[in-house]
Amino acid sequence: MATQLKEVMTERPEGFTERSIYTDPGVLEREIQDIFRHTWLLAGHETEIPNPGDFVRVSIARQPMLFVRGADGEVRVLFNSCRHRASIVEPLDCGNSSQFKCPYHGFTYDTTGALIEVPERHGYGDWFREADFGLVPAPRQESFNGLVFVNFDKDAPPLMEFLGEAAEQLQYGTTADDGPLTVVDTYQYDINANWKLMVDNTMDGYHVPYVHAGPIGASPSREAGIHNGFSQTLGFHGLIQWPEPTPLNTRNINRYMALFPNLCINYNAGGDMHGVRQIEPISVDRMRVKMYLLAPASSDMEMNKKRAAKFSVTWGPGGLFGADDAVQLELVQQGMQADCGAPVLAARSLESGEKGDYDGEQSMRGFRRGWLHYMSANA
Amino acid sequence: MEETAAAVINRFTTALDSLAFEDAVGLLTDDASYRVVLRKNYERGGILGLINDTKGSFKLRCTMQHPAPPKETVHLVSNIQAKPEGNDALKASANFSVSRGGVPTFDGEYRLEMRNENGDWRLTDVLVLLDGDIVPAHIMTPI
Repeated sequence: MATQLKEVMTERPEGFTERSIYTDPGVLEREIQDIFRHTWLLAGHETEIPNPGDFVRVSIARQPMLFVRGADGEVRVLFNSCRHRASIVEPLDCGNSSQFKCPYHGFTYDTTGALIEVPERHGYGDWFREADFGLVPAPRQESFNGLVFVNFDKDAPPLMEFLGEAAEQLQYGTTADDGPLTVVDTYQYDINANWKLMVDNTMDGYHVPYVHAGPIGASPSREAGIHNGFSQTLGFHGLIQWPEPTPLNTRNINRYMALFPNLCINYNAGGDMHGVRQIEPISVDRMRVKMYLLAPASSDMEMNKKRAAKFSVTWGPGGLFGADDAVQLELVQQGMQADCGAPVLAARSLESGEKGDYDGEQSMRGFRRGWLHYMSANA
Repeated sequence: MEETAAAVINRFTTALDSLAFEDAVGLLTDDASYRVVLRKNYERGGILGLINDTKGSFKLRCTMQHPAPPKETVHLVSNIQAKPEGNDALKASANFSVSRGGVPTFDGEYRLEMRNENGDWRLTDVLVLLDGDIVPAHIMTPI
């Protein structure tokens, strides 16, 4: 059943969500156009590409992009598409190169995206100027504490305005004592569930003692102090944190933040695990998750190996928490197919306003308001 | 050597296929490790594995309540190679393909280290290298 978006957006009270927004392919297409093409999206972290010529091939809102550090030292996000016949110019996932040569006809670009060689150049008339045919950069690009964001809407508000009150949380969540956190390693995995479910789950403290009963015990949440925490909206973004509020720069707290629409920043109380989770929709019932393990710049290889091991045991797709989540999200996706006319709930602590208990669902509702805001723009 | 390695691999994968996880745990030495890594990450020297278990966390992995029970699992193993590491140890490798619920789910390579403990060959290191760019989410159950 095709979703009547107008009905979805106007007839359900806050905290109630139509199931079909998780199952209708038409909704996903609208999300790509109305949300992902107008919001700030992560392209990568500057420390993924520390050296001139380093590159990572990325997909951002289904756009084939190159995240590259040019020979001039500048980080750029370029469309990975030849200006001649549109072929992908760099097919490798990552590496280091002094140039990008299109495999189709040999158009060659330098690491800044400038066109530097056209085979059999004489075939083009005087009108052809190399300067007009470089790789196209992302319409907007801004950095925040090492994170590089792009926006496909050239008229979008600046990144800091988009982040709003989430900015200082993001600053803290990506900073160590010795400066911005750096990327240790990354990997990707797929989950057969709608992309929004992962964001929701990151902001959902309610599920923890149930889905994760195995690793943390049968009724662990109060003993672990989890209920001594809160869920809070940060505009369209969200935050859950435990234990209870402490000064922003306090290290021994757990802080999970979701930046609308598809970025989760996780920070653990031990201070030894910092993760960024970027969620890319593949289809309406499949998402691709790119995980970044971050660490202080001063952390040596042995320390990072310990971090990686702990990271794998907990948040990764094979981790004791991450795997539970992945399986559960797939069960939710299957259940969302039930065309029963009943909405799903994100209505805990509905009466508490913008901030509630750890297992409240404030931050999920903040995300929902962001979704409605962007989807309504063209409804 | 190949026969010894094949016998251990057969016991390990048979235990996993029959959901007899305690048998799989029993095949590990007390100091054993069980790791799952994307081959592409491994070969570029990346340190972030998908799973990095001690025997204790491997046992927890095997005994946890799963939201959805594991589906019927079938391991196909081939190209077993082995070489001795002294008198009572060996290194082995083998290709594998694993289907779950009749669906091909994982392909890759085992790189194994084994030790003879009182006449019983057991695994001291299980490295699972997964082929492909993307990991299916269902790697909680040992591969």
